[in-house]
Amino acid sequence: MMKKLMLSCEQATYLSALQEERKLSISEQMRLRIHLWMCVFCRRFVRQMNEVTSHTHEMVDVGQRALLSAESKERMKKKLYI
Amino acid sequence: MLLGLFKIICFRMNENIYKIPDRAEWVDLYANKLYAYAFSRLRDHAAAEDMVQDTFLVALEKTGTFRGESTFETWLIAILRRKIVDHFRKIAKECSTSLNELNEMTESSFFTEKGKWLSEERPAHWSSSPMNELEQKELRRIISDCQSKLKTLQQTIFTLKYTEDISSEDICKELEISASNYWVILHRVRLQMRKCIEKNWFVK
Repeated sequence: MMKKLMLSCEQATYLSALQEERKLSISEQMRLRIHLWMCVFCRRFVRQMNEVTSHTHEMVDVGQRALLSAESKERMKKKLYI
Repeated sequence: MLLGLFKIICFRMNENIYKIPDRAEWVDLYANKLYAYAFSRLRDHAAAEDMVQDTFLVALEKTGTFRGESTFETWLIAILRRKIVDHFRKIAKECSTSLNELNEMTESSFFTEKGKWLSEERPAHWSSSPMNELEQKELRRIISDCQSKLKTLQQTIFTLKYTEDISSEDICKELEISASNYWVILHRVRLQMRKCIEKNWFVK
């Protein structure tokens, strides 16, 4: 009975990925919450992954500032307007 | 007076129909924006430039399909975005060994048979103090590095999901992988990314 209720760390981290995309069932939610409450490592995992993915989104914004060189633009114009 | 109002409304409505600028101006008007969009996703100057070029070529061919419902720039970016997804899909296909990759991936384990963290794989405590600008920059460099160390299929999935914000369902469709394989790979990628970042940053 207890075994069925308890998630393993492997299952808990798996559910944490799933959770980003779909609503977990109530039983999944409960079991994940209980596991995270008890397990410091999985709690760290979830927190750290959230931090990492918030950076990946911002990294895109930084890359957005990349500029094309004047030569590249000239090359493009030549290819386009022949 | 009513007629005047009507004229103003008509004028406003006309304004909403977006026009295509003269093609001689395309590069000057849009190249930088498109390039930045491509580069931020591909992280490769040459590839990004090629893709901008291709986008202009497609736009030249398909000018007739532009309906003016959005700005021309939005329309160009939609073409570019499509090209980027295609590019990732091609890469994913090229590693036709994707399933081997999957087996390989599950070989090195993070967990015991019972699904508990192996003692050497347990997430360590990361400093909880807020990072200064330099540290943030460094962390992003490391994330980038770790991302480039992932295997092709993993890298593609990570990029599509966490920078392109494409839904898992669409990623599965685009890359032609089953949902269950996708979740196994994504789970794996998250474990690996976290570990790689920790190794390079927090525990020195």
